[in-house]
Amino acid sequence: MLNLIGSVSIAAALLGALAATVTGIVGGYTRKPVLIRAARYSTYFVFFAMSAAFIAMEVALLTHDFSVKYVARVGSLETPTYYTAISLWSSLEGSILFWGWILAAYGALVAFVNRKSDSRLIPFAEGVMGFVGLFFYGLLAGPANPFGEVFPVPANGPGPNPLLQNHPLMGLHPPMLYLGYVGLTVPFAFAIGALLSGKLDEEWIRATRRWTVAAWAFLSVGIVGGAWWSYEVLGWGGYWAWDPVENASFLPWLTATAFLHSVMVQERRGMLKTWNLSLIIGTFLLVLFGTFLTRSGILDSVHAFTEGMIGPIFLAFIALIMVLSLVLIAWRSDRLHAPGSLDAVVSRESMFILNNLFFVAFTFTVLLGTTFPLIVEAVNGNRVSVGPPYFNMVSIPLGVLLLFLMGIGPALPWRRTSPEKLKRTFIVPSAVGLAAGLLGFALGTRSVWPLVTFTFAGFVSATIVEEFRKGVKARMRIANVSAPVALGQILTRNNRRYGGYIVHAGIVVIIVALALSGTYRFEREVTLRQGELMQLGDYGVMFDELWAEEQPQRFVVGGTFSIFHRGDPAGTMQPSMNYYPNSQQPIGTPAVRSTLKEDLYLTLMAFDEAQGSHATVRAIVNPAVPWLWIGGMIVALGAILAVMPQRGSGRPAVSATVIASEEESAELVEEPTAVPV
Amino acid sequence: MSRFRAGVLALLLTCAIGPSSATAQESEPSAETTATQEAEAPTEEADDRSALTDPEEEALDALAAEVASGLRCPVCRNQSVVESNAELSREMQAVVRDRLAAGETPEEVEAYFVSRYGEWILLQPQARGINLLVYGLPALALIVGFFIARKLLHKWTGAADGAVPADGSPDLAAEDEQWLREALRES
Ligand code: HEM
Repeated sequence: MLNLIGSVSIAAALLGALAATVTGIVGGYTRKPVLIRAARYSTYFVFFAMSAAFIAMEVALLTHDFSVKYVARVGSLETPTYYTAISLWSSLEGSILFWGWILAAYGALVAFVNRKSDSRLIPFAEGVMGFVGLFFYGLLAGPANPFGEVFPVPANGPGPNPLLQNHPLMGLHPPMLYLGYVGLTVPFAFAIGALLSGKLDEEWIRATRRWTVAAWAFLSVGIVGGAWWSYEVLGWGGYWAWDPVENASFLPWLTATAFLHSVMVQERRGMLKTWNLSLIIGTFLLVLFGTFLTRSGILDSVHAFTEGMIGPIFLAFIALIMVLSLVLIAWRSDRLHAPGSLDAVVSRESMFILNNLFFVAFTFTVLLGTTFPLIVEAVNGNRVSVGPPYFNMVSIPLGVLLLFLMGIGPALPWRRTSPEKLKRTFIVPSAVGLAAGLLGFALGTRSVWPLVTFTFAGFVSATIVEEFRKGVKARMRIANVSAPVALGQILTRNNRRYGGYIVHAGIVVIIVALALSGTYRFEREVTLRQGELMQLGDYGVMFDELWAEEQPQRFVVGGTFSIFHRGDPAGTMQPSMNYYPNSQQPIGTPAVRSTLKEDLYLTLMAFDEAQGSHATVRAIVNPAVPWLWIGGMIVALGAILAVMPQRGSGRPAVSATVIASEEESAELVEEPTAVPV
Repeated sequence: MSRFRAGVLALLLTCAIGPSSATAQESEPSAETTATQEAEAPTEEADDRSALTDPEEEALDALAAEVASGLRCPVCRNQSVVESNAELSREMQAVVRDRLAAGETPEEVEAYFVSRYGEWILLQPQARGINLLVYGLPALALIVGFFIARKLLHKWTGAADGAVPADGSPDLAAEDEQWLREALRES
């Protein structure tokens, strides 16, 4: 029954997507109201159809209907309900279903929000999203069909991949990632819509800015959440392994971040049109590539990849999008040519260009490193690995450069500046930066990169504080209000700008936390007898006892360890090992004791099976790790602020620019008084 | 939750899991050896243990960890030998340490593992042959990109020259001024 509902819904979604593609694009050209309306309603219809399929699958999972192929693959009667519900994204077909449903939801939301708009772009965007949908719903209808019948119906299933049912964060991390991935389809669809319609001014950028920032924020939270998940689950004490799957989410994040910045140049100056289109198309291609990389099995081996059908189909679709986009850009090249003109090299515009250069170079490097083993294997059959030592080596300098630019760019005005003003802007931040670097040195840091990082972090933080101070001061003068009120007002009236700065502050926090935890982490691995104590930094770890617990879906063996901090008892920690019937190796669950300063991280490595008289434990002191998660939350907060509707935004198209220039006016108001700093 | 029950269940389980039981059982010897090493220090004086460990040994441990962090765990997905708690990784780490203790250089230890597993075992490709590309291309891209950006910036600032007011004052274009007025009126 559920098989039937699911398959029919997917077939309906496929038809709806076809209708949306045709009516959207034809309606966009002919401007026939009937077609435009048809495109909108088809888009809604796709959403209802995909929702039916989504619900059918969830019902099948939760009721353990093993006649449904996907349920037979990932379900089991013993899996706790929560993990059963989220096992939708634990395997290929389910995750494509989830992808498709989110795509349909974004489409419907775009159609709904713009239902009264008479912009020429809307039907085109609906058509493009329908076209992307065709691919995903087509996969679901054919090679990745989750609703196939299983006969005879099995009595039970193996349950989801153990790694994916070991931590509640699994319910958060993939949906965030998908919301980010799929959300980037919206600016892509508008970009293609702009190319198709020939309306290549700034409209598509203004219409999608908030979608892009929102999707970017989801992606950011998804990436940080993934790091958190791997820290809490994988038990090696790290949070980022430069695993191809991680890189797959990082790549579109890099280009999307570049895009968020470069569109500001086009909004302001009408320049970089082709570049912005290419960036968002590239971002979308990387989204597809990431989905492909994680889902096609190409990573495990090239052979597994070519045996399945999904991989080649994905690759063909990526190639198709790439070719179509290139053709469109070439076709419109006459309208894309906008004579560039800048007042000065030392200006915000050119800092954005450098920003883009570094982000794109970063993307290129990570992409090269991720695919290099495949390239080498294809060229000469050798197998090589490109792992963390390589990625750290290349990304630290690039990250530090970007950090530095993040201090310079926002502090420079648009167009041009004068040497005196430059001095005034940067003298305090430079002093703060130097002080931060010296402080690091005084506290014993001797490695170069951490010192440089601290210096730049101090510099950037000071420029951010300075921007806030200037804004508050100008606002106090203009509106004649007290400082806290002025702060509230600039945050709400000028939320885009200050949201961006808060995001930057969050990134500074993350980069410093990365530098600290990367540099000062230390660990020790010891086999302890019962009652034996080992010392690690400020911590004492004593092995109390082993315990075991049989749970429906797994068997858990854990150790209880008493913790002492500077000699004082500080509770117990219980790292464990989980044995799942469908896993060869036990899956560890580390125990983490967090303080704002550092984490104590315990992993149970081995234990005495006969008597439980000794246990091998790896203890890691991981400085500043909680600040990674805090930084991630700051980024999310800043992004939420940045996407809030502009206050008094009755005039959607210009409001962003008007409000952005208000602060400029604040700077101007401040200008003549030449505040001494 | 008695320890005994834990032991029995664990044993049952390891047997039930089959081949992987090797992991748990083979881990015995190495756990044992570590245990005996540790046992040399009296438990009560555990606090002073770090003072008792030989600095030379510690340096060797650190070097071994460094070398091992560049080796790939052959049976895991994308973990280094140091990070992994797979049995094979733990053995490899011991081999690294022994070889270093016997006077081999880190390069020789790496070469040994390459001869056994192929270059794949190194987490960072050796800088030779086709591998040079993975090091050279990013640098090349950055340099080329930088020159393109520089050229464009020069071209664009050149293009703007005529439009710059002679006094060089921070000017606002006409549309900017209009936004500014609107914004001020609003506040
Ligand atoms: C990892 C690094 C970075 C991240 C994650 C990041 C993120 C962001 C985000 C999300 C915004 C808000 C965009 C919007 O609301 O549309 C923003 C704004 C901004 N960013 Fe960045 N950024 C980074 C690096 C940089 C760098 C290197 C520069 C230097 C040029 C820069 C300059 C700016 C400026 C000037 C703004 C605009 C503020 C305004 O609206 O006036 N950012 N950034």
